[in-house]
Amino acid sequence: MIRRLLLGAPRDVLDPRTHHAISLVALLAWVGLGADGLSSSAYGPDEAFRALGSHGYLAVALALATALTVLVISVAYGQIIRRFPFGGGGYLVATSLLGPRAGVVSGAALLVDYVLTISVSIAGGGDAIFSFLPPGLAAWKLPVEAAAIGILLLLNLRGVKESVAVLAPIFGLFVLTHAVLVFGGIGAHLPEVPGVAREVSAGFRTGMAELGPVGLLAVFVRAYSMGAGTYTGIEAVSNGIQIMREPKVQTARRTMTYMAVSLAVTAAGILVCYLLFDVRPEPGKTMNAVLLERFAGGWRPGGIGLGAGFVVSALVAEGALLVVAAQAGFIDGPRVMANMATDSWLPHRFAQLSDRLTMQNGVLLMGAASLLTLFYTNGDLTHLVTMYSINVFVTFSLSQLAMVRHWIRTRGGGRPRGLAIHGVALVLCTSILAGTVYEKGAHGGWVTLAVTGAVIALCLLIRRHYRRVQASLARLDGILEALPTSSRGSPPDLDRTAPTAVLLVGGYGGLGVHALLTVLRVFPGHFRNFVFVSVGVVDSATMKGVEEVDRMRLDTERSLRQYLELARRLGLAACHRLEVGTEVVAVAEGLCHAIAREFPRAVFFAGKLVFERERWIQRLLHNETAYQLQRRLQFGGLNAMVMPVRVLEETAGLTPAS
Amino acid sequence: MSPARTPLRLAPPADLPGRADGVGGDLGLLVFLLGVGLVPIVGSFAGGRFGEGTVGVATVASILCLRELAAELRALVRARR
Repeated sequence: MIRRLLLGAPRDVLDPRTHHAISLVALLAWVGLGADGLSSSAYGPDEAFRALGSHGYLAVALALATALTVLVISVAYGQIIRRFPFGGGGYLVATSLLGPRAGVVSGAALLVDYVLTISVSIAGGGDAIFSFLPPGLAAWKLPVEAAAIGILLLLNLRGVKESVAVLAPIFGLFVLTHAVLVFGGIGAHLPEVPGVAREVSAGFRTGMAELGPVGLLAVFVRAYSMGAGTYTGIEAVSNGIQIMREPKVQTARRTMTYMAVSLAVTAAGILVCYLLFDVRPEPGKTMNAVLLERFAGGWRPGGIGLGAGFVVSALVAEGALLVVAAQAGFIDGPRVMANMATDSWLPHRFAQLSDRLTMQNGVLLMGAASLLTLFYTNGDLTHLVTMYSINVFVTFSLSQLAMVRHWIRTRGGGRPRGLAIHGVALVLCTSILAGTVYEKGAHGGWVTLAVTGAVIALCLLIRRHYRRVQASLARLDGILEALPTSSRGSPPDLDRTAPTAVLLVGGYGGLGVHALLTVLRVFPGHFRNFVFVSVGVVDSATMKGVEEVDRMRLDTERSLRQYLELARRLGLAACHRLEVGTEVVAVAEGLCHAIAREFPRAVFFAGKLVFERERWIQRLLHNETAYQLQRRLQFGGLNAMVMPVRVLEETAGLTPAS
Repeated sequence: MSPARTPLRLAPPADLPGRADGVGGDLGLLVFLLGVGLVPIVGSFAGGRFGEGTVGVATVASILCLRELAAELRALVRARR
């Protein structure tokens, strides 16, 4: 009851309206995924401008470089969206075009980055909002930030669309106030442009005389690298295409355009405004706060302090948008995890969907990891920002390298354009990566690389385990060759009052056939009917549209018919039952109860992998479906048996599950 | 009457095709990751500015990488036999 109240009612995966209802139009996708990029204008330009020091005249060049970088990376990701219309972003691009190892590096880097996205955004938002509150309340900052993560976690367990709709007004307020700031700020200074140009020119000449061209370039490159946080979040759209409204590719490209233009204009505009308003860092205030006070602090039309209200509104919107930006971590992090889980880099349970069609295991892990990070750093934004924005450039660089490699190997049309776009993006991304690692590495940034390394090593361990188990199961397929190829005569009719063996099977293969033969051998001549039962599981890989769900249903039915054909050849009376759903235990339980009403003397059989030595990793990587189902069926008054399928380790040729 | 033994007995096959193919690549990746993990550890001994938290996390990552490296090396040796 409480669960339903908090998370909402289950959704029907077979209803085409469900797929439409949970998808996002471009404008809402811009809110959900664009907030990450746009909110970085709250701290990216700030960091970059501070790094310029006394060379503030370079701000115009920095603004141009920032806008250009945003546009180049966005155009490059637009190409990736076109080539990978089912999403997956940096992980899928690197896996498909560079190989699985580059893929796991890219995916692990993205995961760590999304955890940091949540922590940085929440800590940044907390800093901004608590700067308006009395200092005595500062002790509540960390608990409030933790509560904010909890609320976002809950919203995302309900569903992505619900969470985005709730947060849309904050996004709207940010866009409105910052559009007024950028266009109003530049517009108000238009008459002074010639004077500012002369000052910039004079400053440039002085800088050249003091530092020389190499020194001045070094100052510029350092500031450009320190502002790398501005570019984080651009990749979010390519990772989240699956949540877009049909036609997905067009919606994603439109979302990318909204995001790129808004980010480029806001970030570059703020940098130019710093210069135009001669903004200097002030203790305890962000550069944007100082800028807003200079821009609007003096507005008092008719004696009403309208300016102060605007400043507060803009800063509150900035702080709140940072909280909204955490959404990108909650939306895309679990999606990357699901893709990696499908490829066996992570536990398969991360690809499962809840009855609300959300990736709840991924959402929970992202929430827990971001809370851990928040408490590890004590919510210190400086510490968090140092750790942030390194990893995203690992993924950016690998994605662009993958696309360059693709275009080098492709002889079709669009090759020169593709090479040019991704080549430029590759140079930009690798330069920023090198710059951020150099600048931030020794100041705490290296911890991000170490954590990413540990995640990759864990992924390798997990994949090794799954490979070993799959290889063991594949060996059972040898029995398929020993099965009779022709029928022993027509099978008897079903006798619904007779003892019935109900076998829960997956795809047609050695494991299911062994299960059938085991029942025949252990209970010779006892069962008169055999019912093959399968649950078609709709996971994140299947949840691409109603057609994909239909295809999965047909595949499952085809497997069941193969079991029926085998039973016919063995002279057994058999039928099959099929259901489709997201939570396999709940769906299978309902199906079994329906079968028990039809066949009152039914006994249910489910297989369970049993390892020679029990380890924590086996519990993590293999769900307890058979035991859970057995417990539920037995509690419901049905007879259920779990058949152990032993996985041994003694044979050489494979690594043990160490 | 002897008790019925569980008839399903799975053992990893000795000649699994393709298993050894990727071992070299995994080894390379793990050596690289180990190098990344060792930088703060070696750096702190050499008087670098790496914090305690960074060195701690890097140590955990290095141990994990070493463990995986050992497992992959064992697999490589078995595949060659």
